[in-house]
Amino acid sequence: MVVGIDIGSLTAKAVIMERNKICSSHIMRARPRPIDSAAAVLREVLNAAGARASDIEACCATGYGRLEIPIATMNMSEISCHAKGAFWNNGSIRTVIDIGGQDCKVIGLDGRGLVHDFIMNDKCAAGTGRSLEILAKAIGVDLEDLGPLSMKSRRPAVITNKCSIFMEMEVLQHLYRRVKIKDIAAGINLSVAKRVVALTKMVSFGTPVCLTGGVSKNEGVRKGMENLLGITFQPLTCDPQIMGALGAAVFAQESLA
Amino acid sequence: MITAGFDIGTRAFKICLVEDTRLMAGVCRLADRNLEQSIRHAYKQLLEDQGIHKRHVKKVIATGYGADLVDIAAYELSEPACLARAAYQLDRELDTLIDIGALFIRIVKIDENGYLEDSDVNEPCAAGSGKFLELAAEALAVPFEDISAIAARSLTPYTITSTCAVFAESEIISQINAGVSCEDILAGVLDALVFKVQALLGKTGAIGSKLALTGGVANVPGVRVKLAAVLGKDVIALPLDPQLVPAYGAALLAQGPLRRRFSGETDVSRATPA
Repeated sequence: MVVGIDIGSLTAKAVIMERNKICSSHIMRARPRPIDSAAAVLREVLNAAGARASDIEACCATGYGRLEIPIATMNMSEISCHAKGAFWNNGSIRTVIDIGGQDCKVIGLDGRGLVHDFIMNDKCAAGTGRSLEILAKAIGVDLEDLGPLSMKSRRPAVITNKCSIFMEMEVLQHLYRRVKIKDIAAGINLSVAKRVVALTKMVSFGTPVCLTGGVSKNEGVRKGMENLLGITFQPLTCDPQIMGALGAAVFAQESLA
Repeated sequence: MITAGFDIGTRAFKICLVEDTRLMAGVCRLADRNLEQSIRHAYKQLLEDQGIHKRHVKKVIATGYGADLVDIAAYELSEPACLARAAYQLDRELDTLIDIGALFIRIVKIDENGYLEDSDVNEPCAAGSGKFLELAAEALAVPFEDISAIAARSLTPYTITSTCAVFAESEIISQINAGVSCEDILAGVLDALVFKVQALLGKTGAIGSKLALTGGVANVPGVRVKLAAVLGKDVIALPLDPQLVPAYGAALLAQGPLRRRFSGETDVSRATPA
């Protein structure tokens, strides 16, 4: 039995695998210290699998807090883990787009599932989950409701700014002018989709494509990106948010073989 | 002649009443959801306090991000034009104004005759703006007006590595958790802000000899002190609430074209370019 732990900026994820099958997975809000997040998420995922810590043969950590987890026997970058997890899910995938809480990455894979090109934005909050979080707060909508709400819109509000803070101001201006909340929500999702699509232009982009990370659960962003790219994303067999942790677990499994 | 200038910013709106070139009264209020109504109300209040009827105000000019919300304005002018006009009135030796508002950082260059020469703005990134300072102060639970006093106590300023204002906020939170002191973080925040302004100044060419800081962030004295030290230039405080400067300039422009003496013999009047 192996475990993969992904400590992100907003959430901590863990996946337990046994004989190349997912036994259990867990997602929780990250604690301030990566070590606390790791301990908590590991406890939860072990409970869900009905296993004990002593059953774990290998543990691979990933995410920005990966170097601070004492229980990990190894660690891998998020890029490798997302690629690994997506390829394990579906061997035909050639591009993985991951939109996380604080960064977004586009990863190109070759036929053997190895990373041959990637680009990452971690300098600017635009096009990440953080941007969505700030803007959802500005219009008083829960982050989870932003996707379903935006799907009802027929005329998405126009948002031209790139910077999240400028976008917040623009969103407030729409509120002042009594634009419908659902139209603003759709505008917000589209603006994030646009930023990520701009990033895909900078790498060699092959199809099929899959979308991972917490933001992939937002239908508005997902549909917006599909329209802009003119493709449909490959469906995944598991929760797209655990992809990094899943990839880490696959790495841990390979380390035993 | 009495004129009024409206400056509708992203965070606050300001109104100034001017008689000839004298500032009669000015008001600065935070923007809220009923912005148009709040502006109208604040203007009415301002007129009442001064005992003026609205028909005595001969001309109104609006500026700022939400200038179009002022329906009584004759027309709208850009912020740099208003800033340059106010600077010419307040201190003839000023050649550069740095206006740091809630979101926009503007560099305004004024030529020797007091005309707007060049201007630059920080778009499309809010790093180093007033909002950034506010987010930092909020994260540290420090009142906005205490920022300079606390930052001044720092001996070893923390260096903020994130460029993005949003990420800098997360960085600040993790540094508080890591035990870095509040004064060191705040000093680092001011350093980051000054660095951003310096970069923007560099983009507009040679830095002038006498500069002034305006906008809401100018109310934080630490910014002016640090900026003067980094640039090695005079950065003066204007004899007016720094937030009111663009609105004052708008009201001055509403007074009509300025008659400026160039050669000492003939008067040349020219409209200030917008």
